[in-house]
Amino acid sequence: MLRKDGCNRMNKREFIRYCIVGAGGCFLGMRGLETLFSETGASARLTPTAGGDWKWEKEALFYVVTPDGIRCQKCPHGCLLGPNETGFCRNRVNVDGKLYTIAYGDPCAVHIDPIEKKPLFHFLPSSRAFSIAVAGCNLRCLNCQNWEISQFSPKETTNVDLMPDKVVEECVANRCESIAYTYSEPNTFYEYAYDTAVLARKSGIRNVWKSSGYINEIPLRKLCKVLDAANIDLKGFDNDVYLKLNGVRLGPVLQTLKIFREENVWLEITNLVVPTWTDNLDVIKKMCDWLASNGFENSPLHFSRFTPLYKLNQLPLTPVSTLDKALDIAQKAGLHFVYIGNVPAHQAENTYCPNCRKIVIGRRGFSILSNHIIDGKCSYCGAKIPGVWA
Amino acid sequence: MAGTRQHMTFFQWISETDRHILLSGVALGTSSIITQIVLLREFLSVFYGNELVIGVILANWMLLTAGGSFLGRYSGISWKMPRAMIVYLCALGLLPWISVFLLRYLRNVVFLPGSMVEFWQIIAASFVLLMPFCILSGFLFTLLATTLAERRGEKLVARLYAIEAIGSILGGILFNFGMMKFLRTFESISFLAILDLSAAFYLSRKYGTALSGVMIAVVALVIVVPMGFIDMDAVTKQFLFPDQKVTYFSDTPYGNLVVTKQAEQTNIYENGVLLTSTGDVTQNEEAVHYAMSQVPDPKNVLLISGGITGMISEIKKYPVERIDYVELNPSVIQIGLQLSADLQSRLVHIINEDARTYLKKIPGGYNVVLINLPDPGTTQINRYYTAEFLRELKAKLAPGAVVSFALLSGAEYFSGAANGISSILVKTLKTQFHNVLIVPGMKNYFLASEAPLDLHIPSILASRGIATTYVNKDYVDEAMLHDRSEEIARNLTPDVPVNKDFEPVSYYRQLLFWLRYFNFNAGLLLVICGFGLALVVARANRISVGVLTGGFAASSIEIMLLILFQILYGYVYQIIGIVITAFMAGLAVGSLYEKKLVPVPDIKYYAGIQYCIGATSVVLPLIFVTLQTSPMPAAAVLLLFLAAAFITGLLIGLEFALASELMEEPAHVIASQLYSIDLVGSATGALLTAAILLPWLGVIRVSIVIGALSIISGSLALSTRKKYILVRA
Repeated sequence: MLRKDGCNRMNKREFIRYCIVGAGGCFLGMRGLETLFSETGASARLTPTAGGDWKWEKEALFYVVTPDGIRCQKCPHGCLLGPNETGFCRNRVNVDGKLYTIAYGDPCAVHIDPIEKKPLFHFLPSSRAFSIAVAGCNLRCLNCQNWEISQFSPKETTNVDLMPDKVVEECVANRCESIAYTYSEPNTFYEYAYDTAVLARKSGIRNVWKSSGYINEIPLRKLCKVLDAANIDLKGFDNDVYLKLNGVRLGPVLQTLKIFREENVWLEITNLVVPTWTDNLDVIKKMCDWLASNGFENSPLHFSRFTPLYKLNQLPLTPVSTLDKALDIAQKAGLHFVYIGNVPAHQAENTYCPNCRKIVIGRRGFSILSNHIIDGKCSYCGAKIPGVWA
Repeated sequence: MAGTRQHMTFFQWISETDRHILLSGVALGTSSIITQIVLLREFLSVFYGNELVIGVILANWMLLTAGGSFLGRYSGISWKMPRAMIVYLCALGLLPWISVFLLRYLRNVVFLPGSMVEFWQIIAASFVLLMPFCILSGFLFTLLATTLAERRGEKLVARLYAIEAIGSILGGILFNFGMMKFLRTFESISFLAILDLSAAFYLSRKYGTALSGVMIAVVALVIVVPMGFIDMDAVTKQFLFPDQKVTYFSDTPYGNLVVTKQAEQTNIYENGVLLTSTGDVTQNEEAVHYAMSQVPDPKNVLLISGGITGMISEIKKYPVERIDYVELNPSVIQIGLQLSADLQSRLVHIINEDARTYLKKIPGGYNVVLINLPDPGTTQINRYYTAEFLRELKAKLAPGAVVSFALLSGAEYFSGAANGISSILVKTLKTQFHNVLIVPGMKNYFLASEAPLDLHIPSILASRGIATTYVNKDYVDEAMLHDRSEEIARNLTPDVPVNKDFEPVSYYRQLLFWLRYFNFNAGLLLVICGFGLALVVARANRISVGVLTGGFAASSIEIMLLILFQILYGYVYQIIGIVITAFMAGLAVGSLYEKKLVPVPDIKYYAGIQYCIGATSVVLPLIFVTLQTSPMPAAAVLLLFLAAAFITGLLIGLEFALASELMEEPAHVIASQLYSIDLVGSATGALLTAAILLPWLGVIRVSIVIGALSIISGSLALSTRKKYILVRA
C-alpha cells in the first residue's frame, strides 16, 4: 500500500503550468487545424469589400435602407442586413449602409452548351448558348446538381474575370446565338446578368434565363424586358415539400411563371420528379391542372429524372414508369408539349404536333434528327407550334 | 521494497468474488461488447460509414460510459445491492432493443428521407441514442466496484475491470461465432435481452422477491413471444425506406445489404448508401465504354465491383473472351444472379475475394480493368486508389491495357477541393502510367495506360459499330468533352502528394470534401473537444494522466491494427470482434495477474509500463508495414494481429491495475476516476486517430505521436517518484 507525502492532485503552480501549456497547445492546435481544415470552406467568412481589393462588386439594385438595416427587395426572402452582413444568397453585402453585389463580372463557370441542355426545346433548336454562372443561390435544394457553385459565395470559388462587355465579345467570338444565365441561380447575380443582357440585346444576341424563379415582381418585370426565353424549375406543387426540399415557398414561383407569360418571354418549365418527395401523382396532376388552367398549355413541360446528388444521395433514380405516368397525366390535363429528360432515347424527347401527333422535331439528346417546323408551323398539318424558331 | 506480492489463482479469485457481483460484472461486459458492435453496425447502416463517423460514435460511446462511471460515485445506494442489480440488469438487456428501434423509426421522422444526415446531427443523434445504455453501463461499473470493495474491505477495482473484460471476451466470442452468423439485428439484441433477464431472474430468486421473478419472466415473454409473429427486423427496416418495398436485407460480414423495389426498378443499398439501381443506362455505358473504346481488341477484362446491374452487358458488346468479375461480398452476387442472366454467361468468372489479394495470385494479362468503386472516402476504398495497388495491377496488365476509375464530379464547376483529390489521383496514376486522361461525364472518369488515349470516344464507338444508347454523338458532344477535359487537366495542381497505402492522402482530402457538404467547422469541434480534454488533464493527477494516455494509446493501436489489416487484406468486419476479443483477453490477464507480474506497486514500474506501451505503439505498426513488402501466410498474419492486440491489452490491464493500487482514494473514487479517465482517453484516441491523425499524418508518424504521449506521461509519473513513499503493508 502506498501513501503520498503530499497531495497527489496538482498544486496551484502545476495547475497554472498546465493551463499555460494547454493554452499554448490550443493556440498551436488552432493554427494547425486552420491549415488542416482550410479546404473545407467552413472557415471562410465574407468580409466587407468596399474600398478593399474585391473588384467584382457594384452597388446592388432593389433595396431600401430601414432603421433596422438594409432590406433587400430582390427576392421574396427580403433579407434584412445589418452592417457587414451578407444576404441569404451569399453575394449581397451591406457595406457602410449601401447594398453591394459581389457577383459582378466574376463567373466561376463559363461554358458553351447546346440550347437543348438548359433544357429549351422550343427555342432556336441546335443553337449554342454561351453559359455563365456566378456562385451563390437563394435556394437550399438538397439535391443541387451544382452545389459547389450554389452553396458558396463568389469569394470561395475560382472565378474568371469577365465583365459584361467581355461576355458579349466572347459570345460573338464563339458564334453563340444566346447567352444563358444558368447553372447556379441567376437571380443572385442579377445586376451582372441584367447589364450583360442589355449589351447582348444591342449586339443581336438573345438572352436565356435558367432559374428557380424565386424573385420579386418588380425586378422580374424589369428583367423580362431584356430576356428572350426562360426555363423555370417548378420543383413541386406542395408548399411543405418546397420548404423542406428547397428552402423556399411555392407561391412566389407560381407568380413568376405568370409574370413571364404576361411579359411574353418564351417560357419552358422543368419539373424534377424526386422519388419520395415529388413523385406523388396526385400532386403532379394538381400541378398540371394549375398550369393548364392558367394559360400554360403551350409552355413545354419537362419532367426530369432524378439522379442521387449532393445531400439527397440516399434515394434511387426515378423509375421511368413514374415519369411515363406523369407525362400521361400532363397530356390529359391539356398540356400540349410534355417531355421526359435524363432518360436517354426516350420517345418523349421528340416534339409532337398537338394536332396531327406526328413528330415535328425528332430529337436525341442534343441532336436534332429531323425538323418539320416551317415558319413556326407543323409541315404536316399546318398547326402552329409555339416557340422561338428563328 | 517488498518482494513478490500475494497472488491468487484464477479459481481462488473466482471463488472469493461474490456471486452476484461476478454475474453482474460478466453480464455488464457481455452486454456492453455486443451492444457496442450491434449499435455501431446499425448506426453505420443508417447514417454513413466513414472513419470519422465511426470515431464519433465510439467516442460518444466511451464518453457517455465515462459519464455514467463518474455519476456512479455519487450513487450512494450500494447498500441496496444486490437487489438493485436485478433492476439494472433488466434495463441493461432492454435498452439496446429500444435504441435500435428508435434509431430505425426516427431516421425518417427526425431527418429528411433520402437525405444525408448532417455531421453534427450524427454526433447529436448517436449521443442521444447511446446515452441510456452507456450511462447505465458506466454507472454499474462504479457501483459494482464500490460494492466489491465494501464487501471485501479492500480496493478491488482492477478485479472488476478483469471481470468486465471476461464478460467482454465471452460476448465477443458469442457474437463473432454465433450471433453474427445466425442472427439478425433484432434477434441478436433480443437474445442478449434474454441473457440479461436470465441473470436478473437468477439474482431475483436469490436476493429478490417472488414478485420480481414473475415480473422478469413476464418481460422476457413479452420480448420472446412477439418474435414468433412479428419480424421486427423486416418491419423496422421498412421504416428506413419509405415509398420503396424492401425485398431483401442481410447483415453480411462485409456490411449491411438491402434490396428495394420501386415500380419496375430494383435498388441495392450497402450500409445505407445507394450502391446501384437497375436501368441506369448512362452509368453503365460511361463506366464501360470510355475505357473499353481505348483498346482495339480487348480480350480479357477485369471488373472490380458493381457488375450486377448492366455493366457486363455493355462489356459483352466487345469481342471479349473472358470477364473476371471480382466482388468481395458473395451476397451481392446472389442478388445479381436474381436480377439478370449476365452473371451466368460463360464469359463471366465470378471471384468472391478481395481484388488485391486475388491479383497477387493470378498471372494477369488483362486488356481493360474497370474499377467501379465509390470515391476513396474510407480507408477500405482508398486502398484501390494507391500507388501500391496500381503497381500490383500494372504487373497483371497486357501491353497497351487501360485502367479506369471514376469520381463524383460537379456538373459545371470543378472546385478547389475536388481539384485537389483529382490532382492526387492523377499524380498517383502517373507513378505507373505515362498517359492519363480525364473524361468528364456524370462522373469524372480517369483512364490510365502506357498506350495513347483518345477522347473521340463517340467516334471510335461509331467506327467500330458498337451500339450505345447514351455514349454516342447525340448525348456526348465531343467538342464539349474536349473543352471540359482540358479545363480539368489545366487546373490540376502538380504540387500534391502521391496517395499511398500507409499515407492515404486522397482519403483525407475526400473526408474534407465530405465535410464541405455540411459547411461543418471541424476545427471548432476539435477545439471544444481539446478544451474538454485539457480540463480533464488539468484535474487529473500523474497517475490518472497515465491511464488517460494509456486509454488513448489502446484505442489508437486497436484502430491502427484494424486499419492496417484492412489495408493489407481488404476487409475488416469479420475480424473487428476477434481483435477486440484478443485485446480484452489481454486486458483481463493484465488486470488479474498484475500482482504476479509487477513485483512492487512502485511508480517506477508504472512509468515502465507506460514506456512499454509507447514502445509497442511505435514498433507494432512498423512490423505490419514491413509485412507489405515481405508477405506471410494470412493465418500467420492474423495470429500476429491477435498477438499485438493481446499484448496491448495486457499492458493496459497492468497499467490500470497498478494505477488503482497506487491511488489511495476510496474505492468508489478510484473506480469512477480511473475508469472514466480511461474511457475519455479511449474516446479521444478513437476519434482523433481514425478520423484525423491517420489520414493526415500516415501510419508511421501517428504511431510515433501515440508512443510519444505514453512516454511523456510515463516520464511525468517518474518525475514525481520521490513524492511517493512505499509503506509495507
